[in-house]
Amino acid sequence: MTMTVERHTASAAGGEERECAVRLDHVTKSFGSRRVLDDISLDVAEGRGFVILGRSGTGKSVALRHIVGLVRPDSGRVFVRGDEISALSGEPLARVRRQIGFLFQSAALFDSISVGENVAFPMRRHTPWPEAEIRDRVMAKLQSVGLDQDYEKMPGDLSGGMRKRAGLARAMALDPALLLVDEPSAGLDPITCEEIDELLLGLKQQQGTTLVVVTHNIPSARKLGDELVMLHEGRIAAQGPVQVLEQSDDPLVRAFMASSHSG
Amino acid sequence: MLELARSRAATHLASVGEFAVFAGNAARQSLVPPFELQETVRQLYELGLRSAPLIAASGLAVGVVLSMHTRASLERFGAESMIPAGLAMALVRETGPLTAGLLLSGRIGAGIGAELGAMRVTEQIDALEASAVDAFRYLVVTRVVACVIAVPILTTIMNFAGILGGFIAERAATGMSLGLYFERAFSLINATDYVPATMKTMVFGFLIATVSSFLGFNTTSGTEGVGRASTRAVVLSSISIIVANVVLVRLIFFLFPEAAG
Amino acid sequence: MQKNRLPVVGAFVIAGLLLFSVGLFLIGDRRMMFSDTFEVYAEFSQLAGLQSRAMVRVAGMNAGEVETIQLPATPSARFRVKLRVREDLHQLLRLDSVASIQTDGLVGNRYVQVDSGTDGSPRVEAHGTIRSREPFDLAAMFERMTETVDLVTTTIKDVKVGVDAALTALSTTATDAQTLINDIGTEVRAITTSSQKVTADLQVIVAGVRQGRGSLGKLANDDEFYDKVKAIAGEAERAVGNLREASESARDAIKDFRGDKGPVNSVVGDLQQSLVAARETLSDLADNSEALKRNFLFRGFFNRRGYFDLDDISVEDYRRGALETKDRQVLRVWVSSAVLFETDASGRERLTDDGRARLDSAMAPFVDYSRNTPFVIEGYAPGATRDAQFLLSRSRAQMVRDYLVGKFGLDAGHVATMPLGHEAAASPANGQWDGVALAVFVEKTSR
Repeated sequence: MTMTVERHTASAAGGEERECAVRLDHVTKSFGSRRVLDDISLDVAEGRGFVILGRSGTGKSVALRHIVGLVRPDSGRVFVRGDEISALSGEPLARVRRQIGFLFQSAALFDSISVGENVAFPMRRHTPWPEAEIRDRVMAKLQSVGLDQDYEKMPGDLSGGMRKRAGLARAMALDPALLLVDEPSAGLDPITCEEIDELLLGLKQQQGTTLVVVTHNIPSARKLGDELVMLHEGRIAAQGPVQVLEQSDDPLVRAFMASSHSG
Repeated sequence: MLELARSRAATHLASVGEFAVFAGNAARQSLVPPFELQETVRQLYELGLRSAPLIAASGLAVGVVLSMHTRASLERFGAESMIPAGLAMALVRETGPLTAGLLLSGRIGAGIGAELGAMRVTEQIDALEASAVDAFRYLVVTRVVACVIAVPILTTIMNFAGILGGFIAERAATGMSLGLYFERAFSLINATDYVPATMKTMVFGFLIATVSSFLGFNTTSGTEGVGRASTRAVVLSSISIIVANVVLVRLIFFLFPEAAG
Repeated sequence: MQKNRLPVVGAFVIAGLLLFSVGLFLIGDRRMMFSDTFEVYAEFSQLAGLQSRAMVRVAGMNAGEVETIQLPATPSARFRVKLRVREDLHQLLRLDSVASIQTDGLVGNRYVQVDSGTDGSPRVEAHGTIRSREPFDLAAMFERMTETVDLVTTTIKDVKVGVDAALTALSTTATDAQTLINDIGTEVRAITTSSQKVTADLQVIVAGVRQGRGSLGKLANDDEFYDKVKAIAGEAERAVGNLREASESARDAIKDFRGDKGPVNSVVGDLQQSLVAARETLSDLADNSEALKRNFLFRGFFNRRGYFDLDDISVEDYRRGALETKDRQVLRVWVSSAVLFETDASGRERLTDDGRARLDSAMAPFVDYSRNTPFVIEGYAPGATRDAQFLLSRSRAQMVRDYLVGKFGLDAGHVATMPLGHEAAASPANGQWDGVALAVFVEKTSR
């Protein structure tokens, strides 16, 4: 806790915001009378894997949604690659969002269109690419997640893991520099879960994509997280690389890190 | 107890206010570019064209029944020759628009409420937003525009199907020819009976789309919430149509005094 | 993805618009929007609820519509109605075509009927004005008739004063003047009686029509009825004309007399002729207004006012007390045949002078009652058979009736005879009577 504040102060004083892919600055958020995020500040360095840990309902997803502007903070500010996304709307907001991929917990594929069209959707919306190029790129994306046979399938016909992979392909459709992932392991068996983790890891390592991953799955966190932060009751309980959290003074954090895969 | 009632009332008033802002935005954005043309066309297909069979079949049935009723009452006065005109007048002025409005608030209202509700709870609306798409413009405005265009067209289909249904009943009863029937049917109708009554269904379309979208867009609590949104979309859009109709009819009489004759 | 839907949706929208336009066209077709038309004008001081866009029929054919209605600038000016009519019916519209405002059916819309003109008459030019007949306003019509008949009454009073003065003066010189005074007096009295009766009837009708204006729509469309009312109005006006003439004649008579020249008799003769003509006209008028009273729609007004169709009451009904309703009670005066009648040489009964005097005094209690009060002369007679009883009692009742009607100027419509035979339940002589009884059915509240 103390450490976090110092880190933040140091970086703010240095004015090195360019280096931060994401920065939350004293973000507080309440839903009704429940305070979900209580004065959270954190930085995510460019090209790194950043994992937000915590038990269910500790505000991890809410923090993630702040980053893409789906939720606005009650107080505090959110920066994405130097732009204060929490203050933007309209076209400037859309411009920032185009640099972000978001893989939702339920994949959130559009039911009414095919898997391929789901992946093509951001391309059609935001690029002037001709139809043939879009098709090629969609095929490439689908291939990268192992779904090249499933272009015409409707999302309803896919299994949970396939949906997640399709969701990932759509999130990466515009090759964003920042990928936000909400509970990649939710509802998946351990093997499928590992496949997804591998895909994410590959993106980080090969394309230098910054990952912000929300999970309560410790194996995933270990694999993807260069830096981890654990939220508890709306506050940061611990922050640092895996080893730091494992050796934390806080018994809660130690217990959480020691737990095995929790699906 | 009183406290509870007061807070409920406050909540309801707040929803009404929210809806007013929602509907206002929908109206404003449907006139200001960029237009989501492709999606609007898709909604026209889903909400409009695919409602046509329902409307046509209902119209036929309503026409047959209406004809049988007008026959029963007009026969007493020896005014059977007025049946086509009376039927067409009743259909074109009120029965067609209102029946079509209510049927569509059932079909379209439930559809929009359920679809948007499901999209909300499965994070598809968030996904749209996250993909830098204005979900309101993409999902709501397109449906509003599609409904405003489709409902008058469907009402027209209803009117003609109803008149045709009346003809079938009339044909069975008296063997009247189609030509004579149509001539009689339109003998009393003025443009002021026909055009404003049909145009007012644009308001019906707007209400169905905004009310249902509002409920679907603000769905909470999972699948159960989707069902609730869908049911409430039907109920509230039907009520709003019936209430709006009172005002619209009054307004039409005020603007076109001949229509009241 | 949605690309294949675009043409389908386009077809849907276009088909919808087309269908809507078909509706407009079907309306427009009737409105002659798409065929050649021309405009003519008709003027009405009274629109009877006609609105613009109402239908126009030429000789019964749907031929166009009322385009605009120009409001009159002054109270005496008329509404100017612009009619748009199919060009192919233009040859039917002649200068003697008449436009009138009609009602479509019993409760239908107002439309303008244009009768086609005659062959000899030239065509009405476009933008020309055709003749028009005012919509038939029943109440206004009757009111005008009442006024006319009132005028008859006033005029006859003037005439009577003039005639009396003239004849009084004449009687000093002319030997036969007294006879003339008597004759003319009879005519004048007859005219006054008729005209007062007609006025009273018409007033009831006007009041009734005003109350029940809505229910009388059918009458306004009934040609026969319309003609009858027109005839009455015409007769009333003619009667006034006759009386004016009589008045002139009387004035001439006086002038001639004062000038002491010219054949007095011929002047008086002219006067008498005019009066006879007036009386005849008025008696026609009375017949027509009587017929009007019996029209089923008006009957109600008269029944409410206490008028009875005495002719419709049978002897049986009468015996059962048809006229003694809960509002009315009977006043009877019994007169014995011994006083009234004598048998002449041929064996027929006739009224004696004593009998007349007895009837005059028997009438005394009745003269105060309103002229509308039903008055029944009951005849009673003994006889071997019921036939004989009936015939004798009828001839007795009729004799008495004729005398009373003539003597007291009673309204014949309210005086009836009832041959009742020998039995008389209420009789002062053991349930039988020989003679007549005068029965008046008075309202219980009236005294």
